[in-house]
Amino acid sequence: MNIDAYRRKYAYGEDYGTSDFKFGPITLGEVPDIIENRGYMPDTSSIMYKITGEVKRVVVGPEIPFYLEAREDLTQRMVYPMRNGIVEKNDERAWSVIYEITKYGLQKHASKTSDFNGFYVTAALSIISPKYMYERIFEVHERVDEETGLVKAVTIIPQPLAVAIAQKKPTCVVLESGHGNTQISPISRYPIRRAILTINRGGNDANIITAEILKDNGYGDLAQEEKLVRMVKESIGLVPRDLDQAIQKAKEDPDRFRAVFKVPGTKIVIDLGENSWMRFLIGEYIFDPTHEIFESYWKRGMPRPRDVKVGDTIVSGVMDMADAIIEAVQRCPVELQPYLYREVLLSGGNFAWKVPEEMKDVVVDAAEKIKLMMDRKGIGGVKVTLTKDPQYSVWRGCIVYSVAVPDEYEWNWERMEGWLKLH
Amino acid sequence: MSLMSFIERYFRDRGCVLISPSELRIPEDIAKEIDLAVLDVKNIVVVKIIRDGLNRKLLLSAAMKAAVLREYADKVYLAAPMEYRLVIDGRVLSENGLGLLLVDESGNVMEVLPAKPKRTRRIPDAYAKAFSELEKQIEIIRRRFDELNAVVERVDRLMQEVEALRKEVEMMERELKEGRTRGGLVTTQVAREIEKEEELPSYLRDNPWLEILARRKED
Repeated sequence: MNIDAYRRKYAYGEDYGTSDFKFGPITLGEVPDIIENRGYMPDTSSIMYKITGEVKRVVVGPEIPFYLEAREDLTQRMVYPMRNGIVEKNDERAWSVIYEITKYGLQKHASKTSDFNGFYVTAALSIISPKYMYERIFEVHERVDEETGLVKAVTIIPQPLAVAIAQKKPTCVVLESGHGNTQISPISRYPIRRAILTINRGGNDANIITAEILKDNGYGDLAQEEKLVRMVKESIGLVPRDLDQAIQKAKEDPDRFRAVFKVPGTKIVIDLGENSWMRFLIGEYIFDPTHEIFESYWKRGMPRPRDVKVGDTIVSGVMDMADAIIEAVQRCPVELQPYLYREVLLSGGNFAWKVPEEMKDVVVDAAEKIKLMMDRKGIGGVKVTLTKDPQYSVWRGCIVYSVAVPDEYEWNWERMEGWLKLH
Repeated sequence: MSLMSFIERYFRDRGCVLISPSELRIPEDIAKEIDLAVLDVKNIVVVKIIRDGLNRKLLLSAAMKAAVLREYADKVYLAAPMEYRLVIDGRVLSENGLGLLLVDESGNVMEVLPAKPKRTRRIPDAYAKAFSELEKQIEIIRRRFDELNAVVERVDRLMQEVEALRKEVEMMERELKEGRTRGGLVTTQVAREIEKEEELPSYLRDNPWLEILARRKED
């Protein structure tokens, strides 16, 4: 396919993630620019404010540390605009941060060549983003373009579609699992919106059960520290091929499966000893919390993943991943279903589980786990793939979208695609 | 066995260490008056033996010489055979702080009069000179140290000023690179066109979505 010469230079992608904002033009190649998705509201008595004489309401990107040094009220002034990919409709502080990071990115890559007349910008949002977020993101780009002339046209796509595009899979199911939830999005050239399923279970739920396990093993004081709990989860958490068998083997041979974690920079060593079998609960909880063993944790007060109501349907927070994929695929046309099962893409940090070489008979990675679960439900031949460079996938998909969608195809609110021309 | 060897054994039995008088680094004419020197923990103890002459004059002369030794030792003893006891004037020795050891025919040594320990020992000239030199050096070092402290304080202040300026310059540089001025926009980057197919990023090469998306309007 011939790529328009202008867009070979001025295609631009934006991935609005909860933690990071990834952005930049096609000329960056394989890796986008990244800044944290946050903004700092400086106080007018700031030293930097006095030095620069500049009135900045919101500071973003690498400048933030220069404004932090004299600040004591960090939590009040530092704004993280997104929660699970969503910005609250009337949270003006959050929207001002979104405006600043958007403008920062575009200005950073502005070109002075004579042919430059603004970027073709594709922005990616969470697939569960409400319509107002689309409206506000368009408004942000309109405002930036009015001030700088840097946006020729803008469009918005859901992040799972961008993943499918970057992975070169026109028909697939994308599972995006983040901190707070997991979205299952069937895609066949378009995102099949009526089939999208969201489970209220993500990396944070694995943190919660890790904290309970720490408490049960006498490390209740350490369980209060969220960062430490996450480190423990990443270090000792494993996904079992079969939970019952894994527990049995670990109880028979605790030394082989022993879960030991030394807290970096301290003398603290966490050792689950005879209870090392509990490390399998951490991974299993993400994929299948329906096992009876988890009931005892909920009865003792551990928060249960909440159900989500979408339209008339309630999606259980404890639905296992295989059931969720099947449920989503079954909402698609019957003849499409076999093709969707052939390509399941796993994206997001919550699918990064390690497999120690010496435990390969018992431990599996996320892709293998999903495949096994699908097999047990009678759906064979499923190909599950962990996306390569998951952190850049969405941005890459945005670049492809910016390059390929025809210039004359204008934004359509019914189809939720096309270009919104700004100048 | 000789008188000397009896006295040596006496001090050894008390845990003292024999040393050579030359180790005391005292003038030679004084050192030759010492028959035995020992180290009792940190104290220097010297002994002068009275070997011959049973008259008071000789004894007095020996006592006078021994008294000089007190300048250089912590304790000074006179030692003599037991039969001299009748001619030795204990009062003279006591007034001069000297101790007296008497040795009988069987070699038993008795401390008839304990030596008075001297509070300050005269520092040998060689040491005194070295100490004086060290004092001068220490004074020089102390002055240099004060000067250095003042320099360090000045450097600290300058470092703080440099750090503040560095941050300001970095911020201005970044603003220039990002094409921003306080008055408006200045563009500084020149975009490079990707000319050839093989220069395309990997995710664009052979991507079926390019065709699919290109037909969006027709779908």
